[in-house]
Formats: sequence, structure tokens, C-alpha cells
Amino acid sequence: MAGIQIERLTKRFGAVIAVRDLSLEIRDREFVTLLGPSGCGKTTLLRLIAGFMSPDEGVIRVGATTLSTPAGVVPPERRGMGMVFQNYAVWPHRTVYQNVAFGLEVRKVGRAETRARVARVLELVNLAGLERRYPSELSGGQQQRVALARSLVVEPGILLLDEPLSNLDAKLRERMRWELKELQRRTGITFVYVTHDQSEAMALSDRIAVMHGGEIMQLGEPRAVYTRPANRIVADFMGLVNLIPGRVIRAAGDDSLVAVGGEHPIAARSRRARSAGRRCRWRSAPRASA
Amino acid sequence: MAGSVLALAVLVVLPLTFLVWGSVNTDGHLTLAHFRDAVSSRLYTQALRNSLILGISTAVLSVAIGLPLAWAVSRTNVPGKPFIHLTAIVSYLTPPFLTAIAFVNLFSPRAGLVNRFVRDVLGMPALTFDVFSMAGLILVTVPHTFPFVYLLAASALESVDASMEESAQILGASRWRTVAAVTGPLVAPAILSGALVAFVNAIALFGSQAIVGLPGRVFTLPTRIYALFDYPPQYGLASALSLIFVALTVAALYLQRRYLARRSYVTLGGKGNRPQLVDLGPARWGVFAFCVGVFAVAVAAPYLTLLAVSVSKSWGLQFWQNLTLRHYHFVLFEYDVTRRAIWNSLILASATATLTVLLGSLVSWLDLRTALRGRKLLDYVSLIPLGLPGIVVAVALIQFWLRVPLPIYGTLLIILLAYTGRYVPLGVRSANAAFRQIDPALEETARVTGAGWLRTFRSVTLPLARPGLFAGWLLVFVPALQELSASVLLFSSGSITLAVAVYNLYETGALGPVAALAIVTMLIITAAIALATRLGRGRAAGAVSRAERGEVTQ
Repeated sequence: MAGIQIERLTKRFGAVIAVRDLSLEIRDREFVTLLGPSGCGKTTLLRLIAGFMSPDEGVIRVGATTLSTPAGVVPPERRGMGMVFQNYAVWPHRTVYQNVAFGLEVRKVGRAETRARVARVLELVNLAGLERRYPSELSGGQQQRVALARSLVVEPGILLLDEPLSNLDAKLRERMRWELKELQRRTGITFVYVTHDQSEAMALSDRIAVMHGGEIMQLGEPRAVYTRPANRIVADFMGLVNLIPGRVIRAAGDDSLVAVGGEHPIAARSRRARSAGRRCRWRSAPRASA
Repeated sequence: MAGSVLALAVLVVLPLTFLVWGSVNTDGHLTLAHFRDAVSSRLYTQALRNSLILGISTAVLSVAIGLPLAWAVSRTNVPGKPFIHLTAIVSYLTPPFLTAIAFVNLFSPRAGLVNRFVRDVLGMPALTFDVFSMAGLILVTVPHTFPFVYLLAASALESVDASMEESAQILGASRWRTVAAVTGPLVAPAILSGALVAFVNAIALFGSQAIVGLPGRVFTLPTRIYALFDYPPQYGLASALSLIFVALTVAALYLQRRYLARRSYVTLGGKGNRPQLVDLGPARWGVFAFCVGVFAVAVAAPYLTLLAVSVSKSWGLQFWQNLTLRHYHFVLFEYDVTRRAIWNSLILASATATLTVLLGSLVSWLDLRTALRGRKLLDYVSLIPLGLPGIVVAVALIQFWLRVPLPIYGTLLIILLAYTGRYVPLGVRSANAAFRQIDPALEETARVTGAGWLRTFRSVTLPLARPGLFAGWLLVFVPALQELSASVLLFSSGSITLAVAVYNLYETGALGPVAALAIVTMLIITAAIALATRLGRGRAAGAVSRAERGEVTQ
């Protein structure tokens, strides 16, 4: 079981509050994306989950085990998680094989089994045959897969990914997205994925947590977050949503009506207008196309 | 092009050719007799052995001191990081012969202050330390060489991104396992490289080897070569020994370059690195104490000792009871050599710095911005002096200019040639770095806008390169001001330099005046750096430390 419970987590850096009283429950085998602009606290949250930082307040639990409290933190090396970094962090002085086998060496897995498992995972990420290469002889996409294979080979219950696709070119990013999703389906690992790219989040996630100022603005399925943003920050960030100034004609909950446009206003449906006659901003709900 | 070819020929190629020629030639006949003498006589094999022992011990100790300091500054929350960094820089800038003289005042067998204290006050003669020994030589050399390891290791440690280590940790590796499997292999090339540079520098320091080695009869290659110039001078043998010395230096530098070329990882990435910091907790005060210890030995002890000796009538346990300024009065107003030496050194250092930067700019510009044939060769030739210890440069120049019917031997000019030849690699390195930072597009834009070649150089290239060139100037100026190894063979009474004046005064045994002159020397160096930095409008300060790294990376 590798669900993650985060309760009332706060992390400060001096006067800056990077994560603010944040609670989140990630289910086993779920693909959850932390989405937000840079500085929203998403990477800090990921590093708190990994155990590279200790929280100032709050608790992080995996299953029944408490991993992080302000009083103490289980170090990263004893959490049994995997992590893929934005810059891949593939070790340049080790071959592909040595990179991938490292986690198994640490776990004192026997030679024959190591070889078999490395071969299997390299097969999984389409790198078979490149075992003896050094990272400098690989393309960006291939290095990315080495980083993935290195995390997957130890069969972690949870895989943390920090903007793993942002250094790839558009075409490759597209393909790796699909492969990541496939991989998650096949392995059944819980993925916590950090990105600032909302289309990536839409394509990959079971649920998206949109973050801003260290807080979760909205948590939900991709389509729900996209079509029914909880507030303007989320709407702005999800993009493709138009905010048009208008005036409320009829305030009647789900069945409200708003006049939008300048000289020749048109009536538009609204789901939650407050009171008739007030100025407002009408949000055009996009068709769910993604 | 022709100018720089001519300059490099006169400065480097011809003297070196004559050095080789002189080593295999007796009265016009080809002979290997000099080499045979050099390798068969115990005098010289012993010197070679001593040089090797000195170089290797110094390199090992430089790592033992430089690496912990580098780690503390770049990877921990140790207090006083600027102080630690400054300790390394000041140790690096202190003339090695001053450190040696200071330690002689503390640890000479009978008169050394510490030895007297241990013997006469504590009554434990077994604990005295004789500085005139191999151990003493190593002690006075390491303060000058550990900064090489420190600077290289610190920049390597800073350039390893934390994610490299975190990847290992999240896979279950303990802290030590991470160091062994990831951090260590990544920074090892820089450490080894620093150790080899320390080795090369240690064996070339004539000053400390003469001041501490000769009284203890610990002969090394430079002091043996120096002795061969006593009457009657044995030029052939000196040349042969010089070449053996060069072979040793070049072998070390070759190892360094090869190792770096094959296994250098730390320059990858480069931008936005976030090194992993270790919270040491209370242990950070222990680490800090280690740094203070290094400061005490490498900086505080030499300077305080020289200061104390320079103001005491008689050096001893009660030295503070008879304070005097008469040593300063003597060296500044009575001893007429001093002012001449100060003047000569200032002229030589400024001229050398200017010439090397000009020549360096020319060579780098040809290399980077033109497609002329042979420009690469020019670049390589200008780096040859890296493999030539100062005393070897002097021997080569003597071999050359004694055979040329131009009477420059014994003048400031030959010393200027020696300095310029020695430091031309620094000029080329700095200029190369300065020009490399300028995107050719900036110059092309000027050309497209209608500016001619010269106009472009004047209004675009030069202003952009100026801070880097200025740093290079300072980088040559400071060591040239305190140069001893080459000057000691080339000076005459008219062309005496500061360092030679200090050394000569030391040989007469006048400890008080020597200390006073040493302090004056340091004041001049400090004032010159301060003045030069102000002239460079402060931009050079950061550039200097960058250039230092550039220099030691070679």
C-alpha cells in the first residue's frame, strides 16, 4: 500500500512560507500532479515528501507509517521511494548499466538477479543495448529514460517526478508523456508529478492539485479542474478560459443570466451569479477537448 | 602575427633551444657527458630524490588541508566562510620566502623563539623542532601550495548539483555511500589536478629551498643548479640538470591534463547549480577550529613573527622589552640597495604585466578570431613556460644571451625577458578567457553597422574584455613583484630586485633588517594590489579570483 497522507503541512524559509497549512491525500496507484507556476511551492512539497526537508508543522504518512513530523524525519534513503529530477541527475562517471544497477547494489541484490532486473527495466524504457554507454554519449531523451529506469528498477511504491519532461524538445515530450502514462498503468506505482505545464497535467493525471502561494487552490480530475475552475487563479493558470466583463441580469443560482459585451450585449448563462444589476466577470467555460 | 612569432621566439623558443644545445655540447662537440654527470653523481641524484620527496609530501599535505577547507566552505554551514576563503588567498599571495624566513625565526635550532621556549622555559628539549630539515622545508612550502587544491576542489564541489547526490540517497545510499559512489568520483579529477599543480609549484620554489634547505644541507634541484653558477660556473651541467627538472615538471603537468581531459565531469551543467549543504550542528565549531588552525600557521604565525622581529632590538623570549624602529630606518634610509630594489621591482612588474597581457591578447585574438595558419601552434608555444621552473628560465636565458653579441646580461632587460617569458602563459590564459566571453555576434554587429576592424576592436572588443585583461595584468603583476627563482641568477648590483634584496640580506644574517624589509615588501605588494584594483574600478576583485582558478586549472 503506497498511499500518501499529508496533513496540515507548513514549510517556511525565513519569512517566506513555501507550503502553507496544506493537506492532501494521494491514493495508492494514483497519478497525482502538483501543478502551478514557479514559486508556488510544488517542488518544496515534493521534496518534503521525499524527505530532503523537514516540515515546520504537519505530518506526512505513507500507509500506517509516519515519515515526517517537525520532530523528526525518516531520511530519504530509508523511504523506499524513487525520484526523477528535472536535470535527470544521471551520474556522468557511470555507464547506463552502472547508473541503473546502483539502487540494487545498495540493496545488496545478487549479481545474476541485478543483471536480469536491469535488463528488464531497460527493456521497459526502450534502452536495451545501451548498457555500456556513458551518459555523455546519450541524447537528452535517453538520459531521461536512464533516470527513470534507475528509479524504477528498485520497484518503489511511490515515484516522485520533478518536471521530468521540461528539458526535452516538444516532440519528444509528447512521446515521453504517453510512455510515462503507460508505465504507470503497467507498474501500478503511485506517481507524484510536479509540472508547470497544464497540458502535461491534463494528459497524464488521475487528479490535479493546482497550487498557488503554497496552498492547494483546487484538487480534482483534470476535466473538472479545466472546465470548472474553483477561482480566478486556477482559471488563469489553466488558460484558454476567457473572462468577459458583464452585468448580472438574473441571479438564480445554477440558472442565472448575465449580459456580456459592450454596446450590443448578449445574454449568457451563468452558474453562480450573486445579485442582479451587479458588474461581474463572466467566464466562458471551454468545451472539454483535451 | 609576425610580431608575436618574433616575441615568442626570443622569449621562449630560442632560449630553450640554447638550453638543450648547452646540455649536449662541450667546446663545440656533441656529448652526453653532462647528463652522465647529472645522473651518476650522488650530489644530483640526492637532489632529485629530495625534490621528489618535497613535491610528493607537499602535494599530499596540500590535499589534507585544502580539501577539508574546500568542503567546509562549499558544502557545510561552517561559520566564517569569507574568512576561510581569505586565508587561502592570503597564503597564496604571500611570498614563499617570507614564510620561510618567518619560520626560521621561530624554529631555527638554537635561536628559534618556539624552540627556546620549549627548551628553556618548559625544559623539554626533546620537543624542539629543527626547521633546517626536510620536514621544515615541507612546513614552509605547504602554506603556498594548499590554496591550489582548495580553489580547484571548492569550485568542483560547488559545481556538483545536489540532485546528483539526492538521486543516490533516494535509492537508499547512506551519506558515506553517496560520497564514495557519487561525490568522490565527480570531484576526484579536480583534487588530483590541484595536487599535481601543488607538486609542480612546490619543487620550483627556490626561495624556501635555499633559505631552509641549504643550512640543513637538504639540497634540491633548484639549489643544486644555483650552486653550479658559483665560480667556476658549470653551464653544461646546469643545463642538463635543468632539463631533467623540466622533464619532471612536464610529466606532472601532462598527467594532470590527461587525467582532466579524460575524466572531467564537473564542468557539465554549469548554470544554476545548487550544491547540497550539510548542517554540521555543533561539529561546525570543530571544523571552524581546524580552519583557524590553518590560518594561524599559514598567515598569522609568519606575519606576526616578521612584525615582531622587525621591531625588536634582540630576538628572544623577552623581545617586546626592547622595541625599536631602527631596522626600518636602516633598510629604508641607510641601506641604499633597498630603494633601488623597490624601484626596479615596480618597473619590472608593471612592464612584465603589460607586455604579457599585450602578447597574450595578440596570441588569443589570432587564435579565436582569425583563421591564420599556425595560430594554434602559437598558442601552444606560449604555454611552454608553464613547464619551466623559474631557475630554468634563468639558465636558458643565460645560455642564449651569453652567445649573442648583445650586452644585456646583468641589466634589467634580461630580467624583464625572464619575467615576460615566465608569465606569458598567464597573460595568454587571461586574454583567452576574456575574449572567449565575448560573443562574436557583438563584433559582427559593429562591422555590419559600418565600423571598421580597428573601430570595432576599440569600441566593442576592448571595453568588453577590459575587466578580464585587467585581472590578467594583476595576476602577473603580483608574482612578478616578488619573483626570486629567476632573478637570483640574473641580477647585478644595478638590477637587484626586492626579493633578491631580501634574500641577500638574509644571507648576511641580519634578521631584524630582513624582517623589516619583508614587512615593507608586503606593504608594497598590498598597496600595489589595492591601487591596481582601484584603478580597475573594483571590477577586478571578483575577476582575480576567477582568473586564479583559470590559472591553476591551466
